[in-house]
Amino acid sequence: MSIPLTNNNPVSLKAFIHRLTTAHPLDIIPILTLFILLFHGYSIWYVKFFTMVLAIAALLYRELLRSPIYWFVFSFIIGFSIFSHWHPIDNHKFLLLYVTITLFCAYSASSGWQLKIISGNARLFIIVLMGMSVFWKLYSSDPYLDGTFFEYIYLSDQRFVAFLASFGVDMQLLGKNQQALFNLQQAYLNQDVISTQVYSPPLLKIMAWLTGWWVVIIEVAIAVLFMFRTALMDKYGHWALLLFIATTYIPAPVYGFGWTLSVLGYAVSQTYWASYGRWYLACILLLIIYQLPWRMVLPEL
Amino acid sequence: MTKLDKALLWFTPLIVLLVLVNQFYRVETHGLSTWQGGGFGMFSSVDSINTRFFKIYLQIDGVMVPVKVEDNFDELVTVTRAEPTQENLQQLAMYIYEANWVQSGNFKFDTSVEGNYRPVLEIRRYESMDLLPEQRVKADGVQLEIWKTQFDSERNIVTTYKHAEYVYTAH
Repeated sequence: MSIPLTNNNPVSLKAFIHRLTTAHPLDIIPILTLFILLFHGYSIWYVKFFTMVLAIAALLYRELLRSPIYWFVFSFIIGFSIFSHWHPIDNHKFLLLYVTITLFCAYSASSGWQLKIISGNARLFIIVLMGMSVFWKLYSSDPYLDGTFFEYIYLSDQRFVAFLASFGVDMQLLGKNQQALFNLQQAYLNQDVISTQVYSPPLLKIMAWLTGWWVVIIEVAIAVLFMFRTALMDKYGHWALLLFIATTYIPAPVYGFGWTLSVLGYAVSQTYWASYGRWYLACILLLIIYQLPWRMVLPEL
Repeated sequence: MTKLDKALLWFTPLIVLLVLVNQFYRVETHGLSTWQGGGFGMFSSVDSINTRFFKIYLQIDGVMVPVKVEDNFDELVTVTRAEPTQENLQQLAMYIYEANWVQSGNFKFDTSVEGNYRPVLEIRRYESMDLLPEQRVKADGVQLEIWKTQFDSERNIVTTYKHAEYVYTAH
C-alpha cells in the first residue's frame, strides 16, 4: 500500500526513509526531479532564481508537484534558457529538460496514464542516450576501442586525477601533463609550438583500454535490454543500469547525470519491477556519498 | 487512452528526435563538436570545446601581433569553438577587431629567448573614458584561427593542427 508524501506531520529520518520508499511513484519522481534541479540544475541566473522560487512554492504547497502548470513553468524557463544559449550546455541538462517536459505531459494526462507516460518516456530516454552515446563513440573519427580516447582524457582531465592516483599513477606527472597541454594552447603567444610530449605509463594505457570497452559494453547492454520491454529483459536491464550508475560516477564526477539516470531508472522500474525502485533511491544516496569531498584529502598537483 | 493522452505520450520523444536530428546535421555540416548540441555524444572524441582553441593575431603596422583574449569574450568564443562556421568566425573576428585594445606589460620583443618570440597584446573591453589615448592600440585587421587537438597514443605526443581561419582587413 502506498503512503502519500503530502502528509505534513513532522517525521523522524527513519520514518521519512520509510515513507520515501513506500510512497507513490507519482509523488517521488517530481520530488527527486526538483532535487536535481536544485542541486545539479542550470547555472544561468534567472533559471537559478526561478528554480529557487518554484522549490519554495512546492515546499509550501506540495500538491504543486503534481500540477501540470508547475512543470510547464519549469519546462518553459529551462527550455528558453537552453534554446537561447545551447552551445555550452551539457547533455544531462538537455536530459533534465526532457524530464520536466515529461512531467508536464504526464500530469496533463488522465490519471490512469500518468505513470505510464513517465515510465514509457524514461525508458525511451535511457535507450536513446545510451544508444547515441555508443553511436558517437564508434562514429567519431578518433580511435576509441583501442583506448586512445580515454588515455587522452585520463592524462588531460583534472577530474580523473584522484581516481588514477588511487591506482598508483603519479599525480605530479599528471599535473605536468595538464600544464603542458594548457601551455600548448597558449604557446602561440610567445613561440611556434604545435605538439608536446606527455607522460602516459603502461598502467594508464591499460586502464584506458579497459574503460573504453567497459563503457561501450555496458551502454549497449542497457540500451538493448530495455528495448525488449519484457519482465526478464527489464530485470537484467535494471541490474546493468544500477551497475553503470554505481561504477561510472566514482571516477567521473558528473553527479547530475547520475541523479537523473537514477530517477529515470526508478520510473522504468515501475513497469515490471517496482521493488527495484528502492535500489535507485539507494543509488542517489551512493551518489551523495561520492560527492563528499574525498578528493581533497589527496595532495595538490 | 484518449487522443490527448497519446499526444502527451509522444510529445517529449518528438522533441528529443528533433534535437538529435539537428545535432547530427550540425556535426556533419557545421563542424559542431559531438559533445555539444544535446546528441548524447559525451566522452566520444578527443575533439571537444576544451581541446579546440584559438590563435588570434592583430595586424598592427604590417606586423601580426598575437592576442590574448580575456574573459568577457567567453560566450562568443565558446559558441565558435563548439561550432566553428565561417559565420561564427567572422562574428568573433569583428567583435575582436572592434574591441578596445590595450597595450599590456607583455607587449615587447624578447630577443634574448630562443624561439621566435613575438610581442603580446591583451584584449579587454574597457570603457573608452577609462582609456588614455596612449594606451589605445589601432589595428588594421584581425586573423582568427581555430585549432584542434589530436593524440598519438603510440608516441605519447599531443599534436595541434589548424582547422579553419578567418582574416579581416580594414579598408
